Order: sequence, then structure tokens, then C-alpha cells
Amino acid sequence: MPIRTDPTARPDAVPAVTGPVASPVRPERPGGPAHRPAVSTGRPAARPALRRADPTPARLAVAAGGIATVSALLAAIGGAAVPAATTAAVPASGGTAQSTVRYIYVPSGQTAPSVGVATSIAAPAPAQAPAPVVTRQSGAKP
Amino acid sequence: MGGGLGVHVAAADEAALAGAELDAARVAARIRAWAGRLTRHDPTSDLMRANADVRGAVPVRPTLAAALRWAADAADLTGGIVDVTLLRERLAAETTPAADARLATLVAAAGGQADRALRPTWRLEATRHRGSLLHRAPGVSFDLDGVAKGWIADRALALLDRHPGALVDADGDIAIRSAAGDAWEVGVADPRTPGAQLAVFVLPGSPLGARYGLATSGISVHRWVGPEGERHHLIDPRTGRPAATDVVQATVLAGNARAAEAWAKTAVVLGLVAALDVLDRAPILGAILLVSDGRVLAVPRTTRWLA
Repeated sequence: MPIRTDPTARPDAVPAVTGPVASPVRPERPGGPAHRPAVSTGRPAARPALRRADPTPARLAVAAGGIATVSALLAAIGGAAVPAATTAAVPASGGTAQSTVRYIYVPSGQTAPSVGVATSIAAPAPAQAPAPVVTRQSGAKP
Repeated sequence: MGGGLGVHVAAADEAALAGAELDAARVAARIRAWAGRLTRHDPTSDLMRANADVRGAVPVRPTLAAALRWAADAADLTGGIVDVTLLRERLAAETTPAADARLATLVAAAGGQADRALRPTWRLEATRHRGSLLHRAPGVSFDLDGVAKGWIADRALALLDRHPGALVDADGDIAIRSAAGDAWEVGVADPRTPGAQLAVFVLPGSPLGARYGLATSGISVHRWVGPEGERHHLIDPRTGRPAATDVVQATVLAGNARAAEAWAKTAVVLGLVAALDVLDRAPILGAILLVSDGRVLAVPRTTRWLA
């Protein structure tokens, strides 16, 4: 079965679990933020884990996905006989890290090259404060 | 079961803080109780008592029964890659004196049978008065480690439903519920550099309360040196040996923590090419893989969740 990078292009794709759509506008709360994490137990937290995230990076990430998806579809429409690689770069904005999105479209009947068909992501910019809650391998030091 | 525990509760307002603190403490106590019943590190746990029981049908208490039911579902979901009957193989990989002693105990309980001649099977039978009976072939021993943590995180999160948002971190397997207008930020640890992160997930809420699960599995923490070289703890059920894989670490975002954990473990065991194929079609929201050659790859639909 050909490996495709855009699950929406696959007619028999297993529908992914759909999560909530990120709200583009954060509602203003009178009197300041009302939500506070009450307590964290087991490990001391330097600051609350719940944050009001700046939606700009999320919107950029969504835009990057849209640009790369369009690029992959254009390559397919062009009827490339061999696997075609397309790249798209998210324009840097205000110090956010650039992400290079690489898609490889594999026509029916062919096999994917050994390189992974996935998105290469850049690490968070050093200037960003690390998230206080971290998922890690079991037993790893927090 | 070892590892850290974090319970974070978002209170609706200042007046609700005291109640939120109390609930968080109660949930943490419940988590410790569940973990105590499911751990393989305590010979008196429900799990290890069942492992030591020589009978072919063993009555088990509700917590262990519920965790085993999820384990069976996880095996079905992942085509058998998540397999909780690999305790002896896991102990054999550890090559520590404590592990050797536990392995000897298990072998003795199995009547001296050191290897499994056939694929072992097990099943749970519901009995009267809401009891459960665990049927298993001789020599089958259970290890619920990762499976239990994700399951515990989800169960604990459900106890905090009266609060707008909450996050339960069971040693890196994380269950999250976000309220409308809020977003939890969760980093993915970079195992190569203490304190560094591969990525940051931003998980927004919704009016009905969005739920997520984030889990990370990998081979870079639990490693031992044996006569045949380095080994790690993730056993490939197809070989009975530590998985031969080029995926150092896999992090999966799903609708709940137990599913995220199952898919993360599956991705590591399968290796990069098979993992990307499976994850692309799995019912998950996203995944990030750290490959042995240093690349950090994400299933494309992951990017919408990243900071």
C-alpha cells in the first residue's frame, strides 16, 4: 500500500480522532485570569502549568500545514511519474523557530524511499521558556 | 510503580481553590493506591500475587481486572505489539541481581518452566457479584508498567470532572482536560540533553472540555549491559527480546493517555518506517519521533498542536 503523508487524501483513511479547533480569539475575562492551577503534588512546580498560550505560533503551525498540503497536491496533479519531494518553509516571525515541512508523495504501485515520510520539526527557540509540564520516558528525571 | 506524579487542577475562581486543592490531594492518594495494586516492584501487590499464584484461574480484584481489560483492548488495538505477558522477558533483559531474583521466583512458580513453548493466552472472566477470574496458561506472568500508567492517568482525570480543567502526570503519561479559553502547554523531553525539549504541545480547550492524552516511550532510559551487549526494556513480543529499533523515543498525542501510551510503545517497537505507516493511519492526533540518527520527525498532522 502506498504511503501517503496527507491522510485526508486517502479515500479509505481511518478518520483521525478530531480534537477541538484552536480558538483564534481568546475571550477577555474581566478582572484578569480566573483559572489557576490549585495544586500540584508529587513534584514542586515553579509556576503554574496552565497558561494562556499565544495563539500566533499555533496559527503559524496550522498555516504551515496548509501550505505544505497544497504543495503536495500540486505535485500529484502534475502527474509526476517518480516520487516528488516538495518543501515549504514557514516564514519566521518575531523570533519563532522556522519549521521545514517535507512531503514525499508516492504514486500508486511504488514504494516509498527509505527516508521517513514525515515532517521534520525544529526544536523550540531557545528564547522560549520550557513548558513546566513535560512528557518523558518512564523513569526519566523531570 | 516508581516515577513522579503530578496533579494539576484549574479552579474556576479564587473561591474554588480550596476545594481544588483538596480534590487534587485525594486524587493523588487514589493514584498511589491503584499503583500499589498494579506494580511489579512489590511482591505483595495484587499483580504480583496473581503472578505468583500457581492456579490456572486466579480471582482478581476490580482494579487489576479493569487494568487487564484495558491491556486486552490495547493488544487488539496495536495488533499484539502491546503485550502485558512479557514480564519474564523484561526481567531477563535487565540483568540486575534484583531482576534475576524475581525471574527465579517466577520460573519456580511456573513449575520450573523457563521458556514459553507456545504463545501464551489469557482471558478475564466476569463472575458473580462483579468479581473477575483471570485464566492464563502456565508460565504467563504479567507486567502492567506502562499500560497501567496511562490507564491510571485517565482514571484519575475522570475524578476531577467538576473542575474546569485538570492535568494528571503519571510519570510522563499525561491525561489532560482543557476548558474553553484555556490551553495547557506540555513539553516533550529531549532525552539527549537534560532540561531540553524537542517540542511543546499547546492543547486548547473547548466549551465541552477537550480531552487529550500525551505519552512518551523510548529506549534511552532503562538500559543495561549484558553479555550480549546493551539491552533496553521494551520487549518485542514477536521475538521475546528487546526491540531492534531505530526509534529512540516516541511521543504520541491522542484522545486519552492510555491510547497515547499504547501507540507510543508500538512506534518504538516497530521502528521508524513501520511506525510512520502505522501512526499515519492510527486514531491519534499526532506523534513525534526521535530517530537514532538525530532526526526529530512528526506525523504531519501533529504540527497544528505545536507551539
